[in-house]
Amino acid sequence: MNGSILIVDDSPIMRKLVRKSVEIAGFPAETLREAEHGLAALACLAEEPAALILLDLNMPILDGEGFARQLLARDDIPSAPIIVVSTESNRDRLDRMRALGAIGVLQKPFEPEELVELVSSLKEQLS
Amino acid sequence: MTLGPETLASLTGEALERTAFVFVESSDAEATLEPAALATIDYAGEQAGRLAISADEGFLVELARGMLGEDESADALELGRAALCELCNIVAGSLVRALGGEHSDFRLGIPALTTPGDAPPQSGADATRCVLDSDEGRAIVDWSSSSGPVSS
Repeated sequence: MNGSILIVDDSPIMRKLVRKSVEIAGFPAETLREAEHGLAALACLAEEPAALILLDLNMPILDGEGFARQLLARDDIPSAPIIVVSTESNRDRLDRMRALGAIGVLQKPFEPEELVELVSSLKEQLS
Repeated sequence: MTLGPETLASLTGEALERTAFVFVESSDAEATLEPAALATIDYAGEQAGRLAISADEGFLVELARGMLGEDESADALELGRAALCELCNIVAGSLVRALGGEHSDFRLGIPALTTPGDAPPQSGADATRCVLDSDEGRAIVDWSSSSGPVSS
């Protein structure tokens, strides 16, 4: 795989759950990175690009939508496909996220297997 | 719009089953617990409200272990507090979806842990409570909402 997977969520237990699911999907632990909000995620990407971003929306400091807007606007940070992993159900907001680069949405509550399947389906694309 | 305790219990039960494989049954609404943690989240938009979930130690440990798929964890209680916060976030998301559907304009706040001794907020025009028992413990879900639109 070219680059890492960046997990962005303010909930430490959700980051653990997502990390576990992504590992089960076959991605090595050393390719996974975590950030607790959008600003930290931008800093992570500035250091090293990612192949995929698993993004919560409802976060302090800089939320998911703000992060996606900044990522799109920044020429110095390589963009990456985004999967939204969130409680968000507002159609307008989700449409805005798609316009900002989201290629998928996984709505909470989800079963971990759903995330495993979703990430597994992208594995070939990311290789 | 308001939702009854059965709907609140159903939304919470679904979140617990899907995320953590924790199964619950509704208990007597007057039942109490020895709270080990209390998580709250506010929302605003077409109407404003607050969701609060308190849980005892057994429930927190079961929730953490269920979410992470681990039978043993040295810091299960601490992880359980974080898990309760996330559960509060997830149930609030389901709640506003049930209230207004995908075209509604609700904005969720950030879930927070507060002192377990604090009484869950019941000051809104509408207040709903459900008590849920799992295999290992108990949680109480309190939802209070105003009747009109409020900005965040």
